[in-house]
Amino acid sequence: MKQFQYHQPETVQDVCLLLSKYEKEVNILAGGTDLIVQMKKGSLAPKHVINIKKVGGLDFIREDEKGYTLGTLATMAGLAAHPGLQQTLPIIASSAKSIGSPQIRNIATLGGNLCNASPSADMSPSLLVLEATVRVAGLQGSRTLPLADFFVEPGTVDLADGEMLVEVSVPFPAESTKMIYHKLGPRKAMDCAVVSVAVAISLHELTGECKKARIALGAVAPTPVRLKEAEKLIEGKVVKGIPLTQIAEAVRQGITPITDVRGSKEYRYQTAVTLTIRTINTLMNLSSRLNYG
Amino acid sequence: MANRISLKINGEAITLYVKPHWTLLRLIREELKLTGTKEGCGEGECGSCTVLLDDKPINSCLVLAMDADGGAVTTIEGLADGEELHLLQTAFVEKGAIQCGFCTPGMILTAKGLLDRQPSPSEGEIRLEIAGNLCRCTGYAKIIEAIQTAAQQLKGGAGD
Repeated sequence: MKQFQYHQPETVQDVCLLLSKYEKEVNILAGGTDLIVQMKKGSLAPKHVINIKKVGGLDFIREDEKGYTLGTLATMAGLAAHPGLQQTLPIIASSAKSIGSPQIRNIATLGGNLCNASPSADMSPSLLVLEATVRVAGLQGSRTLPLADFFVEPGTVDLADGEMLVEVSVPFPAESTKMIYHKLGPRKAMDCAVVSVAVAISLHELTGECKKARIALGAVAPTPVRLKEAEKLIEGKVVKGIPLTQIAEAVRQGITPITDVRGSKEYRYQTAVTLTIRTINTLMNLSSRLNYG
Repeated sequence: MANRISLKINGEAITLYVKPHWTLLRLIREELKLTGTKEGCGEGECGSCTVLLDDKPINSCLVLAMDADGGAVTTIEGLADGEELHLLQTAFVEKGAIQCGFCTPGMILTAKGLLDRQPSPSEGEIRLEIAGNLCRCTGYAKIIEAIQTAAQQLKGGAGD
């Protein structure tokens, strides 16, 4: 790979200063599982690389009474193995576990997965259905925005020059919420999703009626997408009453898959519908005593 | 421009100058001449470059040498105790888990990383854990048997 100037600042402020100074000629190095690959291929050749791993306190996984806050340098391995997350926000752990291999997961980071902004990023659909927010630090201070507003287009997130992602906050969903992340693809490991679906549903304990539904799909649009129309079609219904044809149509309308090396557009339309409906059915049929992730 | 780093390599503390664009793999093979670690794909897919960094298996082709500063690296050369092979190495030899041998260093270090954390892995857990180590020769069956055998022996206190 091409040579570069290497920086390892020790504070967020210094990272932002360097990002601002070098504007479009700089990339952040976190885990490196995307950056180094791209630099070796030549698709990225930044003149400056900022290793943010010397900035202390960015790799935390913190619980409080409202929910979880995840530092941008939290590794996939750390998220996958976290007992608290496995218990209360299982799709965060299972999404992280679905990425790459153990070697990759030991260095890959949450911030990297989000900011690399691949349409098939595995952390995104799950964090979207959990209505996560992100905190971005810049020279003027920090700002918070919904994760849903963070993705702009493939490879691009809402970070201005001089800004870096520092943490992701995930509120606890209602206690009765069940959730699944399903990654569809030909391999059990080391692969990108061909289509991915995250669903979080809370059901009324006695009647089984859906109180709240959140559905997000990955790898079927330029960014991960929430299917708000499909969500509205399930809310207020019991499993027998969900309008399958309408949901199928809502899925089709909500996505814009393309044909690429991993699958055709038609295949993605088909499997997105099937997977979404199957996941909704599974979750709505679950008794409130079971846990899924 | 070169930067100075200090790290432990197979238990030995060293200090040396590295260029920022060097990967840990390059450091290990070209500078330290420890050629047991292999380059297969160079992009973190095949696992033949696997080493332990602070006891965790990682793809050394994706980690910059600079990132090993202050860390402890274990390569395949660091597993044997003098002339005495590690139980994993012996198990691989005895079970026929080695054909061309190219995947073997990475495979064994991944297995070591697993057994250090999970001394009694199920077959399913072993399969998942070696998902990042590709073998084109063996079909994995003997590799999995070797890891299971080594796990038994390590638990049985047959010595490290």
